[in-house]
Parts: sequence; structure tokens; C-alpha cells
Amino acid sequence: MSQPTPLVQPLLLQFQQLFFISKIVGVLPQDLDKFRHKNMLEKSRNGMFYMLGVLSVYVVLYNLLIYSFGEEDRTLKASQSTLTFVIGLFLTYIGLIMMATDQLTALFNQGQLGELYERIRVVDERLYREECLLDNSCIAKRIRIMLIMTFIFEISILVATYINLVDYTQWLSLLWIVSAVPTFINTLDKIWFAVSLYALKERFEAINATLEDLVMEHEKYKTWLSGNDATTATVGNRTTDHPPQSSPPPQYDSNLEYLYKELGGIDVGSLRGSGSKNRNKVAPIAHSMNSFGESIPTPYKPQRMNTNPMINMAHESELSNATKVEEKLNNLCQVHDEICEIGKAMNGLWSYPILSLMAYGFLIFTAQLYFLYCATQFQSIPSLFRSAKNPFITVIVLVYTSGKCIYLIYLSWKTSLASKRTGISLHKCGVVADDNLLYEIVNHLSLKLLNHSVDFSACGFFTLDMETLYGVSGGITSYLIILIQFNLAAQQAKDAIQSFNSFNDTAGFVGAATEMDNESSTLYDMVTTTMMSPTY
Amino acid sequence: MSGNIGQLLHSHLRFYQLLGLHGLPLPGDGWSENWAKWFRLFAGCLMIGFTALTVVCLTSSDVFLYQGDAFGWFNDILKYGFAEIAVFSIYAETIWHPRPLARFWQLYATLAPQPASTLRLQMRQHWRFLVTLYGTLSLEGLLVCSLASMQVMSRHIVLFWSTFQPFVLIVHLRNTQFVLHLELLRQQLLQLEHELALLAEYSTFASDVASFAGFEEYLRRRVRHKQLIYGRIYEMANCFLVAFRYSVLTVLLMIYVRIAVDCYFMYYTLYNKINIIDYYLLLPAVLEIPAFIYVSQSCMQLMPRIAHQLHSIVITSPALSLQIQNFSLQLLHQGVRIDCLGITVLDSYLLTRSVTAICTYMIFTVQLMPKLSGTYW
Repeated sequence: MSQPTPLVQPLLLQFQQLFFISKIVGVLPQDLDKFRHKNMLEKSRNGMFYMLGVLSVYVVLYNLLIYSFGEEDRTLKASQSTLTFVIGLFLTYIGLIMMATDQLTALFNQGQLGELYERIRVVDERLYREECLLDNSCIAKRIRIMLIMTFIFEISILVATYINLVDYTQWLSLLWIVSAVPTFINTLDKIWFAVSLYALKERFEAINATLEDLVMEHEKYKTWLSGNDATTATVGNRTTDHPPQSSPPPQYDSNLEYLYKELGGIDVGSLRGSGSKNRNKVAPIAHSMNSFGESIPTPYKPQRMNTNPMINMAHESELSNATKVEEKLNNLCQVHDEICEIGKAMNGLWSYPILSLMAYGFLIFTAQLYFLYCATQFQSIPSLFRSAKNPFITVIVLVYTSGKCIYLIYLSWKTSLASKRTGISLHKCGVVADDNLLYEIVNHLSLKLLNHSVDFSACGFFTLDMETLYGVSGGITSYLIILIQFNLAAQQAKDAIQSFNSFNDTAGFVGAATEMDNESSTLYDMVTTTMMSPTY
Repeated sequence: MSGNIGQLLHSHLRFYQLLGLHGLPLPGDGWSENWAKWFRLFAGCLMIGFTALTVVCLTSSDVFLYQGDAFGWFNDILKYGFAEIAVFSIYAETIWHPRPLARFWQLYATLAPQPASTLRLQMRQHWRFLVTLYGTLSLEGLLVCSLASMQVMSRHIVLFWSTFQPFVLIVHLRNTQFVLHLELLRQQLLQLEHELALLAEYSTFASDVASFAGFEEYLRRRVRHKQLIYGRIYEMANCFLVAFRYSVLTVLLMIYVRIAVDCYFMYYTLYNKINIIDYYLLLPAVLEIPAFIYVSQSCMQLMPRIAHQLHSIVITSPALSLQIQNFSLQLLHQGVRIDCLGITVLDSYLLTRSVTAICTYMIFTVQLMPKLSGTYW
């Protein structure tokens, strides 16, 4: 039924720009034409070859970059502390590894990614049938903002470093541009993940909002009903929803006036209805008669109709019709399950890239701070991390790297929370309606939701929620202090050796000492180069 | 006439309001657009004032910061930096996020419409908060006075403490404000638990001695009523978390950083036999975190009690059973969990972890000390 005229706009429609850029720089291999015409991600052999080509070009260029800038490192090797050198060597390739993980994972998953968005489209249609409307337009806006932020960060880091810290008289220095490629590609890939995750979160929130609407509607309905019962003329007045024995005294209203005004946008009437009544006035009559169960809804409905013979349809609540609402709740919970499944599948697709990003973030954050410390002590640092020489560029780099990691963690946490909130909204429906059949449905579905929550993790190594941040920040501080201590110790040992040498020099015979010194220094050079070259 | 929240709460909220920590008008104030505008302006001025103070302290060539060595100097910058972040987030929440707080007080007013009648009863009701507030405040005052009388003042000490103490005061008062809100929450939870216990007792009594027609239905309605109340208490807890979303984190972080740094300084001054005793001022800060965590922990500990009381209600009809199951599931779904921005749950375990972390950092920094002061060789 949905084939000729689609009920809902596909989510991928919002991804046009992002896909175009991703395709050009080689983040995704899928077919561009199919995407443009049908908004679908389909496998493409040419795309695969293009991507592999791009990847190998990047790898070659990056190695060239390391080689050409490594020249400086070699001359500095003697003066550097071994620790700094080893850390630099270890972290040189981590950006490249991260990029390769992203691209290779995208290649392997190229079929499944399309299926994922197709599943989201089906979910959208089902939500549409449950009158749960979604607005995808903000997603395109989000993508645009993220892209702009990425460009600003990348370009500011690149340009600032290039102008301040790279010797741009040589044409080889242009290779420095390549140093921005891994992080840029990684960010593009993570924008896909982040935006899709955000879309899932929106779907959870739409379900929650639908359930809350049911509650709100029912409360209004009950307010109206009790207003009719009491045969008060002013139905819309918010004081009418208080039964005579209700606990708050009348002056309470004027006292709280200041808070209502502060809360401005919230519908006062609906807030008051949310349970200030001590007991439901209608339900007890329906229930006290038959407490055994299943056949309740049948007497329930006519009973409602009897109390309000001149009901006009303006105030109708779905929650008062248990059989009808059962179907709706069931459907919503099934959609919820499906979204959870999609979330898990999505997490599976991106698990390795996220793991590599988190490892990268942790290591680079620590290393950048450590090198910043080294630079403030006027020690030389590996040439690839030259941005640490300038505190301002360091701040930008740190904000960019940590921002990427923290945003993903934050979003995963929020999505997980939104999925858990559905249970709460469901229970609200149950309590407000106060109907035995509905309680049974709600209990059943609530157990189902409890057993079926979505939690995001990086390959199972750690969950992507805010608690991880606590551990990571603790780890970074500890490692930083340890590294700085080692550095201090090494520096002091070096100072001691130097003072010892200078003491020897002045005490020794001057003529012989100069000769000896020359010899020993060449010997020292030889030893260091032979020691260092295999590791390099 | 002090409105419906009681004289005691009213006066304390007014106190917080005057410091720009409580961004709502009090009952009887009357609300108007102008009021909100002026209050925001007032809080904004305080915020700008504190920020300017930080900037002056950090950039001035005068001896605001410790001059002995680079590490001590860096530590002082850390202290100012985190204090500034904390104060900034506090005023930002007052200025831009008054709504969750308003909802909190609205819910509180619906849950506890009548305050205790006399001041003495109110004091008994809120004694935990009063002890926390006045205990830490008076300790702080006492220590500052004793420092002023006993310490030989150097320019650094005068400049540092006269600029840093206002930050400390605001942050500690914010902490007591958290304690106040959580204490109100705890009272509500305790009352719910108490009511459920009564209900359970009553059901036991009625099941074997006396029952009347429609008793099950009555019981079921009471349980449902408690369920509705619980829903509102949960929303109150949620409002607390949203209203103080960032400041819980930054206040704890600032106190934590200060303790870690000042422990280092304490050891440093003792080690180098410097005649400065200002590390005693750390004591109130050490007490603030446990006070906060204790209240939040006691809130969360009530959750299993509520579930326990709920399940000790004697079940006499399937409808009641269904209702209790529903409530129980609701408790599973919406447990009260007090955390700061999801980063960590505020329970005693956090206390253990922070003590461990501070000890570890102390060992690191103590090791670092001889190397920094240059007396190693």
C-alpha cells in the first residue's frame, strides 16, 4: 500500500549533502545515482574500488608526510627524552589506524547500512499509522551545523599550525595538509552515526510523547466528566477538578500563582488534573462489582455512556476504551522493540570505529597535554604533534577531539534514557486510566520493556554512557601525572650527566680532552643512530 | 503570612534568593515580568562580578597566586579556574533555567500543602538541613576568624583569601541548597514509605480479623493513590536533577579539586616548614561532600524500603494483586537515582572512590615535590 505513494519521507532524504561529501572523500562506497534518485543506499562495486584507491592514496601520502617531517625528528633525537620519543613513535600511526578502521568497516557494511535505513523507514510508516508524527527537517539542520563545525575546527587547526609552526618556505611543507585527513574522515563517519542515533532518539521520544498525550487527553476527559457529574456550569474552569474532599485548601491556588506564571507554557489545567484528586470518582463503581477480570471492558463502556448521555465528542479519551487502546499500546511497544533492535544493529555496525575513536581520543588527549607540558619546558617534541607547541591550538585540538567523543557518549546515553522513559509513560497511562484490563496489558508490556532496553557499547569493552567519562577523565589525569614525573626524572638525570661531563671537561687536560671529546661524541652519535634506527 | 511553604523554608529561600541562588519569587511576592527581569539582571551582575574577579586574579602581576614554585602556582590557577566554572554554572542556571525549579516547588506544594504549624515543629522537620547549613557556615566563620587572628599575614595570604573565600562561600551555600532540596524529597519518600507500611499493617489486620464489604476495592484505590503520589515524587526528583544539572557536577568538582590541591599544599608547607596555617580552612570543604552525599544516599536507600512495604500488603483479590504488580513494575522502571549528569551516582561509593583518588594523587604529588623544589641532589 505504501509503494506507490510513500506515507512518510525517507530519513535519508535529509542526508543528501552529507552523502555527497562522504562519497567524494571516500567515507562511504554506496552508489551515488541510486541515492540521488531513490534515496537508497545500495552496494556499488565501482564505489568500492574508488574507496580502496582513495584509502591507499591517503596511506601513501601519510607515510610520505611522516617520512618528510621525520627528518626533523632524527636530528632532534639525541636531545629528546626517550619517553617522548617512544610516545611519539607509538602515536604516529594511530590516526591512520583510526581512518583505515572507519573506511574498511564502511566497505564491509555497505549492504547492511542500506537495510538499516530501510528498517527505519518501515518504523516511520508504522508510527505514522499510529498517528505519531515525526519531523525530520531538523535532522538536515543538524547535519549542516555539524559539517560547518567540522570544517571550522579542521581548518582552524590546520591553518594555525601551518602558519605558526611549519616552515612553509619548502614546498614539501604542503604535505602538512594530509595530517588533517584522518581526523576529517573520521568525523564525517561519526556524523553519520551521530545523526542516525539522534533520529532513533527522536523516534523514542515520539512514542513517549504519544503516550503522554493519551494521559493528558484522558485527564482532560476526566476533568470534563467530573465537571458534568457535579453539574457545575463552568466546565473549563480549573477549580472544578477538585472533588469536595480534596486536600488542598482553596487559598492554595492564589499562593501558587507565582509558580504557575513562571511555568508559563505549561497547561495549568492539565497539571492540576494529574492526580491531585484522592480517588477516581467513576472507576470504583465499575470495579467494585466484578473484580475477577477479563470481562470488565464490556460493562465499562456502556457505563460511561450512561453517566454522560449527552456526551459530545469533543472530549473523548482513547484510554477509556481498553480494547481499542490495547491494540495501540501493543503496536507502540512493538515499534519500540524494533527501534531498540535497530539501535543494536547500528551499534554493531559502528562498534569497531567507535572503539578506535575512543582509543584515539584517550591517547591523543593524554599525549597532547603531555607534549604541551614538554613544550613549556622547552623540550623538543615529535614533529607530528607540533600543534602542542602553541597552547591555543592545543585547546582547539582538545576541544575538537573530546567534543567528538563526548557528544557520541552523551547522545548514546540520551537515546538509552529515552528508550527507558517509555516504560514510565506507559505506567502513567495505566494508572490514569485505572482499568483492570488495561493494568494487565500495561504490566505485560512493562515487563517486556524492562527486558528489552537498548544500551550502546564499544565492542563490549565499555558502555557508551556518561559513567565512562568518569573513568576516562580519571585515567587521563593519572597517566598525565605519571608521565610528567617520568619526564622530570629523565630531565634531572640528563642535567646531572651534563654537569658531570662539564666537570670532567674542566678538570681534564685541555689538549687531550678536546681530541677525546671529538672522538667520544662521534662514538656517541654512532651508538645512538645504530640503537635508534631499527626501531624507527 | 508566609504562604504555604512555612516560615522556616520561606526565610531560608529568601536568603538564597538574595544571593542569587534561588531564581523564583517567593509566595506573597507577586510575580511580574519586571520582577523576573530585575532578578536576572541582579544575578547576571553577580556572575559578571565573579568572572571579573577571576580574570583579575589570574592576570594580575600582584601576588594573588602562589609564587614559590611552578607547580604550586599551577595548582592555584586550578583552584580559581574550577571555582569560576562552578560559580558561573550556578548563576547561569539561576538566570536561564528557572522552570524546572518552579515545577519542583509546585510539586512540593501539592504533595505537602500544609507546613508544620509552629516554628519549632518546622525546625524539627528540617533539622538535617539546618545542621548542615549552620554547621558548615559557623565552622567556616570560626576558621576564618582564627586564621585572621593567628596567622602572620603576608600580602599573598590576604590577597588570596580575600578573593577566593567569596567563591568558596557561594559554592558551599549552593551545596547546602542541594541538601535542602534533597531533604524535602527524602521527607516525601519517607512519608510514602510510612503510609505504605500503615496500609500493609491495616491489610494484615483486616485479612484475619475484620473486613467489610468493598474492603479490597478500598485497598486497591489507596494503592493507586500512592502510585500517583509516587509518580509525582519521581517527577520532583527529576526536576531537581534538571534544575541543578550542571551545578551539581561543577560544585562537587570544585570542592574535590580544592581538597586535592590543598592536601598537597598542607604537606608542602609542613615539609618545607613554612609558617602558614591556612590549610585549616579546608575543613568545611571536607564536610560538604559527605553532607550532600549522605542525603542523596538516604533518598535512594528508601526505594527498596518502599518496594518492601508495598509487597507486604496482604493480597485478598486479583484486582489488588494486579495493582500491586503494576506499582512494583513502576518502581522498577522509575527508580529515584540521583546522579550528576549521569556521570556518577551520588552514593557512598563515590565517597570511597574520591578518597582513594585523593590519596593516590597525594602520593603522586608528594613524590613530585622534592623534584620540583630542587632539593633532590
